[in-house]
Amino acid sequence: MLSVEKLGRREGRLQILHDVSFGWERGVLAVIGGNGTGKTTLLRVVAGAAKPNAGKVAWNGVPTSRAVRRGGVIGYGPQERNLDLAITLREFLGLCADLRGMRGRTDKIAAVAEELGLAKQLDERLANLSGGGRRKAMTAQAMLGASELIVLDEPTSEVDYAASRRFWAAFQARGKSSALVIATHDVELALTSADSILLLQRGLPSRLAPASSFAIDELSSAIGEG
Amino acid sequence: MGAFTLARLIASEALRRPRAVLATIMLALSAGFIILPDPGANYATMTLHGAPLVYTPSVMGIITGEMFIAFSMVLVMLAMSALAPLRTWRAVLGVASAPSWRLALGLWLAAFGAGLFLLTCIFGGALLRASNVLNASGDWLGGLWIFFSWAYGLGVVGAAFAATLYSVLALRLATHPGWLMGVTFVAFIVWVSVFGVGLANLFDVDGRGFAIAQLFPQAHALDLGMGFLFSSHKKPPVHAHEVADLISTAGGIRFLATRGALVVTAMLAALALSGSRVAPLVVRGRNSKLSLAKFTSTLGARFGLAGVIVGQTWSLPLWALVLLVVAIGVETIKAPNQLAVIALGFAWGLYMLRWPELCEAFEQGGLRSLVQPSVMGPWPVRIRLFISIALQLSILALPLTLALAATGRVHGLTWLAIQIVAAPLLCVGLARLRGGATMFSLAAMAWWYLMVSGNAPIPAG
Repeated sequence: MLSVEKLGRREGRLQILHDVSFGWERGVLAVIGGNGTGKTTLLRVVAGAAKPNAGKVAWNGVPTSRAVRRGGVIGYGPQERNLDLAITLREFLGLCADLRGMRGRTDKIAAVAEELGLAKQLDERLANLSGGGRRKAMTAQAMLGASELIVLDEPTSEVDYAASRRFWAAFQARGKSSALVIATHDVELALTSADSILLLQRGLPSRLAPASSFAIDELSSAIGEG
Repeated sequence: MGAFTLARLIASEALRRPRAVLATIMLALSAGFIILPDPGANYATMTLHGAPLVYTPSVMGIITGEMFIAFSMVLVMLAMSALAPLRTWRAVLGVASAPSWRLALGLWLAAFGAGLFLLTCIFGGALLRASNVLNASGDWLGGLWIFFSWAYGLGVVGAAFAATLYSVLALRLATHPGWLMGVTFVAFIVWVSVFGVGLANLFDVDGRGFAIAQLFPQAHALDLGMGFLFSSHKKPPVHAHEVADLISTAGGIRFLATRGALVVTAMLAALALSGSRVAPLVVRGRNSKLSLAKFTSTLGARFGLAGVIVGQTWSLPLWALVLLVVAIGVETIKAPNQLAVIALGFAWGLYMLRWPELCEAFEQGGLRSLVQPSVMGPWPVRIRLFISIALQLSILALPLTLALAATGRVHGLTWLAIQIVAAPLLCVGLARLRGGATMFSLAAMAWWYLMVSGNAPIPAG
């Protein structure tokens, strides 16, 4: 169970998140908000990549910054996609699996490639992948193995529509056994595929509710208001 | 397991970049030619009690190993920058979600391998220069083995400690190139001056005591100077004892065992210093209160493109600027002396270390995009770049210029003017080439070495 209690995060003089509280046990939670509303910062803290300045973020009672130290608990796909390397996607995923101490990496790589439709790209060099391809690589490493909590920052930006649909279908399938927190601008796919939506406005959670309770116009105007 | 995979992938990544590998080999060969004396030259720079040595395969091996130790920090950092792009690997390591020690071990293994590769290339360069020494020994293969055992027996320590520096900095400073280069530069100075010279007897990291004791039982460690930093005098010759290969030499096995222990110590130090878990990169930049970036960008905005160029160059952490001020201060006080040349070399070295970044920024469009709206094209930018560098170098050299002018030393002024023109020409010229930044780094370091070693003194008259 992911529990976020009165989370506050400051970057320099800028207070990015204020008093964010919510809980999430299983399924897909889409985090939606305009540019600069604190989605990436929230996800970094949730993934344990940054510590909160105020409040608590924990996975099953353990702060995420500590839970991330245990291999296979948290998978994180950040926005950064600077993967200008000559190693192949298969080698990249193999490296991530090895560094996390995962066993049976060949099977795990094949499984995640099948899940995300990346089987044909496995032997391509990262540097030769398109922007969308590198984004897919980042998502694939986050979903490698059976992480309990998967945090993805805009996994479908730069990704073509067909692949986006496939990704969201994969997220839904993973949601049956894991908790997924996904920041996205793909509002339509989030509405149809996510279990719930967390709407962020100026670093504050304005609403957390089942996706079915949102209307696209409502989300659109909320994003516009920032 | 993961650490070995990381090291293996960095190596295979490097092998898929043939230009980078070639540049690294060239770097090592050039370094070999710069740092090793010519056995056939009518002077010698390796001395004993004020006298140069007559070279033997063991002496050449000792020089190769020792000089590699002295330059290993800079060589390994430069080589790894070309072979394994730090920022990109740092992006991968950030999402690997692995303990830092495991990442540090993988990076250490990769850098240690690169260090041995560099040593092999330098060894090759030394071999070319020392072929007459090997021939003169009458037993070419035997001479080669003696040469090999001494060079690697000594050099392996430099590769290990350079790998420690690389692995720690690559994890912590990969996304701060200014700091990375600055810390490398300072570590290099500390390594050479403190370990290489000051504490050679105490710690004997590079085995000088052992090496000299084998050649000259009565010698003092500080007598082994190659003209680098503290000894640049040319002296008459003296014969060295013939010694066998390192393993056959009395105490050689024990010596190698202690080198092995130092290598393990260096590796353990890398693991211990690897720090906290590596977090994924933050896309947004953060302004430190001590950073000059904000100040220089505000100031630079007032002076158009020239301001941007100066701003990019000097948006260094404050301490780097302090070092520069100290160097210029020494230059001012000691203007016509040898120390002034060393200070000038130091100041210019620090300054030139920034240029590879600027060249890259220029070629990748960072600077060009600033002038696109004015439809200036690349040439006006290149000309301004040239003028800007020349002006900044002139300011750095001003104390020396005044001192030379006051004493009427025309040759000295010409010597200085050539440098002020040549450096920006080289920078702007190489910026057009792929890999030009690495080549500029190499040329800058070579010139820096010549100045601080006393091999490029101010000409008389």
